[in-house]
Amino acid sequence: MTNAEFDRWTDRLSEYLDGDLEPRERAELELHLETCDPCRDVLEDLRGLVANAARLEDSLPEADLWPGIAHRIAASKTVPRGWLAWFGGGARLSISLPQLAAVAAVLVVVSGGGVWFAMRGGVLPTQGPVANVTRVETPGTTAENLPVATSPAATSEAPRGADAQLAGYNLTRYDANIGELQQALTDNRGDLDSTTVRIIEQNLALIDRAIADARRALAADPSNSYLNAHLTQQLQRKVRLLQKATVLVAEHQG
Amino acid sequence: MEHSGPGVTTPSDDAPFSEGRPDAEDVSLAAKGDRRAFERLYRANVARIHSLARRMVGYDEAHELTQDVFVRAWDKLATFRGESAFGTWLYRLAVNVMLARRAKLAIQRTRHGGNEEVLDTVAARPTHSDLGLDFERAIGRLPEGARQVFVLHDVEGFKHEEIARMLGVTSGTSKAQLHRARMMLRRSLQKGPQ
Repeated sequence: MTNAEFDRWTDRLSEYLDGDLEPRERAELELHLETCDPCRDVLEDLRGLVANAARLEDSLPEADLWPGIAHRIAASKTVPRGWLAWFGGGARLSISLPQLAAVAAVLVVVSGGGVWFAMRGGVLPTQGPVANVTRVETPGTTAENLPVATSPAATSEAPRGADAQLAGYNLTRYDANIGELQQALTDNRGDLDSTTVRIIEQNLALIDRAIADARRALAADPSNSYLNAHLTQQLQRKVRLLQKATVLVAEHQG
Repeated sequence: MEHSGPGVTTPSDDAPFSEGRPDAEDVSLAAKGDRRAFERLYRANVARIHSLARRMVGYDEAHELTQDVFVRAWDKLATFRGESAFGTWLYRLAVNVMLARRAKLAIQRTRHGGNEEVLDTVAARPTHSDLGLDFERAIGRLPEGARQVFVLHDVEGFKHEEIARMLGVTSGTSKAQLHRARMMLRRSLQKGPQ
């Protein structure tokens, strides 16, 4: 049997195993299997492999992920059913603290002068979702206590000014923290070996490119919640990497 | 399974909430904002979701992705009406989140010229040594496309037609990737742990 002939049949073995061959092809292959030990071996291996895959067991992550999840969902507030029912809802609504503040601001505007505004034919200034970011008051520079980006799907309509200010505030804070960490690393990079420095710099360059891409895209579409969340994620990633690098420096310094 | 866009499945949300399931009370409480109830749901389901994430996107992304899934579930819990068990609904949501992440990672790799083979090798973080973990490790070393088809078909039990819709490929491509994955795994496992 030639290699081409062997390949021709082995290439069909998965389909044979999964019952995806036409009856005629199936019969041909079975005929071939009767005389071809290598193909039978492959088939048996594949059969065992598929059985093992189906038996793979789920396992817990090494670390407990709940604290991180709890931290992120704590940024959401639950609005009572009765309150929502007024809007025809009745289910829990997830809303972040800045969004809650923004909604409250809108309600003040509506109750104070909205009717008058509407009667004049005006339109309240609103736009699409903006990054769902939450300021965390804990002091110190850690990725965990920096603003947390939540799922883009969790965002809802919010006034332009409030969210833009919050997003701007948080991004500024990230930039400041990154600047401090990067300066510390620059000052002490001589304590690390050149391979480590190169790896860190390569990773930083990758993250910086992602940040630059996100910033460019956001410049064109500032209210895009996905892009805002993506930028925040990249900034968090950079902080984490810089933190690891500074820990390495500290370890080398003894 | 429903599809709301190219290749992305969405949990059904149009059936009435069903009482009588083991986790129904916790789901009901969590939907009203009870975080302790949601933590119980997390503990009951995290192994399945994290294992799926680990196999689909690799070890290093799995933690973050698992957290994303549960945060998304918290946000969307009000849309869960109990047509299926909570675990099934969560699982479908997880597949959606992971496929969306897959698309995002693919864009990043294209932009940054990422090396798929290197990333896949990094994703397969070695742990202990036994047959199951060697197998998991070998899965983690598969190229991304082959790995995802293998996990969805042979581990998770999706059909080629479903996988094709999810990944935006043809059914034939899904079959070809599956066979490629199986043959690579066969070779890898014959060589033994690396």
